[in-house]
Amino acid sequence: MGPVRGVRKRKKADKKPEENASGSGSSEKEGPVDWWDEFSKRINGLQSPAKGLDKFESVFKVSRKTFDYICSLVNEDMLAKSAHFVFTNGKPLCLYDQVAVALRRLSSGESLVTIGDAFGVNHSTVSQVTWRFVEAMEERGLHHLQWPSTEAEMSEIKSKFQKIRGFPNCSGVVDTTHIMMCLPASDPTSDAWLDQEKNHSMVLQAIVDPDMRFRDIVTGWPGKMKDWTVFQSSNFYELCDRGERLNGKILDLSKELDIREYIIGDLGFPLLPYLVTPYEGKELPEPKAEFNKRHYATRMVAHRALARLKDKWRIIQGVMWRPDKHRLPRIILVCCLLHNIVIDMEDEVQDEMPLSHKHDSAYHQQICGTVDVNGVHLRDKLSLYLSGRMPMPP
Amino acid sequence: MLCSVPASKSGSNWLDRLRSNKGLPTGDNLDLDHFLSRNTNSSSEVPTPNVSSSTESTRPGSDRVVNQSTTSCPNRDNQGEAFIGLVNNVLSELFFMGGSDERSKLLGKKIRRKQANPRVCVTSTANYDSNAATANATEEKSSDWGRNDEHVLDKAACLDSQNGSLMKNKDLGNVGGEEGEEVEEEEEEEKEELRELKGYSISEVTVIDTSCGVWKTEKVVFRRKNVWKVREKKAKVRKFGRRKRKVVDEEVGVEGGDDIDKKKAKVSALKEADGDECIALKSTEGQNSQNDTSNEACEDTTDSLNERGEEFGKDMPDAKSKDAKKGQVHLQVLSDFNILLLLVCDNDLFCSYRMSCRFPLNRSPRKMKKGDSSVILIKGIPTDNKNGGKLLRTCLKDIQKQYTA
Repeated sequence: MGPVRGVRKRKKADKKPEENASGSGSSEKEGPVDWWDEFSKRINGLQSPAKGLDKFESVFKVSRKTFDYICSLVNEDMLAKSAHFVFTNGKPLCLYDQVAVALRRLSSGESLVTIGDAFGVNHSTVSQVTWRFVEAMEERGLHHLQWPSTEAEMSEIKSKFQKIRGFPNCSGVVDTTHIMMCLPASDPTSDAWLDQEKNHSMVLQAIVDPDMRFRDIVTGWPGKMKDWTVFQSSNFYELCDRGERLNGKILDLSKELDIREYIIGDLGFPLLPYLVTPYEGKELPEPKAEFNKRHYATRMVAHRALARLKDKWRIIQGVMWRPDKHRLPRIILVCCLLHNIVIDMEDEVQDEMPLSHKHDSAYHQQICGTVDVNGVHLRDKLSLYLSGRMPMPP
Repeated sequence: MLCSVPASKSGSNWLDRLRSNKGLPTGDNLDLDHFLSRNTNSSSEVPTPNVSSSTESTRPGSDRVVNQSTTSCPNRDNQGEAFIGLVNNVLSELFFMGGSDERSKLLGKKIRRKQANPRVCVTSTANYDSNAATANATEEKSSDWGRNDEHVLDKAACLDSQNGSLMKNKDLGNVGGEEGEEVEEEEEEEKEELRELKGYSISEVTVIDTSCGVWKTEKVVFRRKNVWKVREKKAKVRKFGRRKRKVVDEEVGVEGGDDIDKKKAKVSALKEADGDECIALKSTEGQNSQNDTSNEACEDTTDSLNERGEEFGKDMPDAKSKDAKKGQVHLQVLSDFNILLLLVCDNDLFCSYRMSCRFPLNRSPRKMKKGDSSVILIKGIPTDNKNGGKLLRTCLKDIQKQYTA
C-alpha cells in the first residue's frame, strides 16, 4: 500500500504549513496592495531587477483591477479544495499568490522550473496551481465567452462591424489558428496532429466580435483537420443550419434586397447562406475586388484577436513540449476567457500592446471551395451594396 | 431430503408421486438404460391406463414417432410403441415451460426444433391438448403452491399466463434468439464499422465547443488521408453496458441466441454422454421498463435494456403488457430423465420452490433489485463458451453427488 502511505505523508506535509499559515505574512486578509509589495520583493529578491518583474502589468499582462477581478472570480474554487500550496520556504500561497503563479505561467509561457525559481515555489506547485486555476476559470469565467444573447448586444456588434468597412448586418468574423506542439515521434497518433505546414498543432477556431472579443470557440481538433472540417464539425454550424443561430433581424436594404445575419471568414471556410467568404481568384472586377478588400479589413479583427491572444497568453504561442492533448484545449479556453476578461474590464493594458495580425505567420491560406447558392446570392448582394450602387440602410 | 411434502402425502416421495402421476415406474433402480430397455422389452410395469391416457393426449406427435419407431424397431408391440409415446410425451412435457392455451401452437414450433435434431427418446412429438392444458391450469389456480414440482410447474405457467407473460421453451429460445440476434446485430454493426474504419488511424481528442450545452466532449477521430470520421467517445460506456448485461446474463442465466443453442447442444451432448443426468438451465429476463428508466447509471445500458424489452414485445403477443416485461427465470432441471424442476420465477413462487426443494444450484438466490424480478444466481455457469462446458460439468457432478448421496 505504498501510494496510500505516500498520500498520508503528503497530507501531513500539507497540514504543517496550514498550521503555520496564521503566522505567515502572506495573508490575503492584508489586502492586495500589501500582497503585491511583498510578492514583488520576493520575486525581485530571487531574480535580478533586469528581468523586468518590478512592474505589475509586465509580470501578469493584466492591470491590478483585472487581477483583482480574476481573483474574485476564482476565489471560491481555488480555496475550496483541501490541498494547500507552499513556497519553498514553507509559507503558504494565498489566493493572490496562486492566481499570480497561474497567470504568470499562462502569460509568460515559461517553463514550470523557471516560474518556480522566479516565484520561490516548487515547479510541481506551479503546475498544480495553474491547473487548479484553469479548472476554476472554466467554472466561473465561462460567461465571459458567449454568443450575444440580447438583440441590443447583437445590434451593437452589427453596428460596430458596419463601421469598420461597411458590412451591414455582420455578426462576427470566424478565423482559425494553430497551437503548435512538439509530440514524441513514437506517438502513433501524432500524424493526425501534423498540419499542412508539417507542424504538430491543435486547431483553435474562433468567432470574434468587432471588439476582438471571442464569441464562440472550438478547439481540440487535430491540426491536420482542415478549417472547413473544423467548422462543419462545430455546433455553431449545426445551430445555423437548423436556423437557431444567426436567425435574427433581417436587414431590408431595399424592396428586393434583404440581408440576413451572417458572419464572414476567409477562403478556408465554405460559402454558406450565413457565412460569407471573399471572391476567389485574381484580377477580379472592381466591385468584387472592393468587396474582398473590405472583407479582408473586417476580418482583421479576428486576426488581431488571435494574434493578441497568443501574444498575451504565451503558453499557447510557442511550440508546447509534449502537452496533454486533453488538457491543452482547456488551457486554450482559459486563455480565451482571460483575453475576453481583459476586454470586458476595459483594461488599459490592451491599449499598450502593439496590434499585430500575424497569428499563424507561417501558414498558407487554405481553400475550401465549397459554395452554397444562397451564399453566392448573399455575397453578391453585399458586393452590390458595398460598391455603392445600393442605397445606404436607414 | 430433496423436498418437503405436505403432511398428508408424507408417505411418498414427491419424485415418486411425479413418476407415478406420469405413469412411470418408481424405485431406486432407474438408470436410463435400464429404464428404456426394461420398458421397451416388457411393458408390464407400466400402468396401462396411464399409457392410454397419455397416448391419447399425444396423438399427432406420437403417431409420427411410432412410425419412426416401427421402422427402426419392427418387433415392438403396440404397448411398446405406446410407451415410447408416453416417454416422449413425458419428456416433451418435462421440457415444456409454462402452459396455457397457446401451448399447442408453441409446442408445434418446438416440435419442429426437436425434429430437426432427433435424438433417442428425446424427440418431442407430444402435442399437448390445449384444452387439457387450460383445464389443468384452471385446476391449478385453485390449488396450493408447491404440492409437488409438477404443480409448481403448472402453477408457474398459470401465474405467468395470468400476468400475460406466458413463456415457453420455444419462446425462450426465440427470446434468447432475438436477444442473440440483437447482440449479433450489434456485433455485426460494430464489425462492419470496424471493417469500414479499417485503415483509419484513431485519435482520441477532447473538443471544446462553446456553442454546445456541454462545451467539453471527448471524441474519437478516425482519419484516413483527408477523410475524417468523428464518433462520440462511448466505447467505455458501451463496454460497461455490455459488461453489465453480461454480468446479468451470468447471474440470471440469460442466454442469447447462439449461446442458447450452444448450451443446448452441450446439454444434449452431456445427456448423450452421461445418459442419466442432464441439467438444462433456461431463463428469460425481460426488463421492466420502469426499472429501466429508474436505472440511469448508464444510458447505453438503459437503451439496450429497452431494446431488449422491445425484442421481447416482438416475440410475445402478450409481452407488451407491464407484467410481461418483468423478469422471469425459468429453471429446468432434468435428472435421471424423470425429474423435472421447472421454475417460472416470481418472488413467491421462488420462495416456495426453495423451501420445498433446496436444490443445490439455488443456494445463492439473489434479487437484482428491490421490487424487480426474481433472480437466481447460479454460480459457476458462465455464458462464455470456453469455460462453460467445464463448469457445467462441475455443476452436473455436484448435482449427481447430491442425488446419489
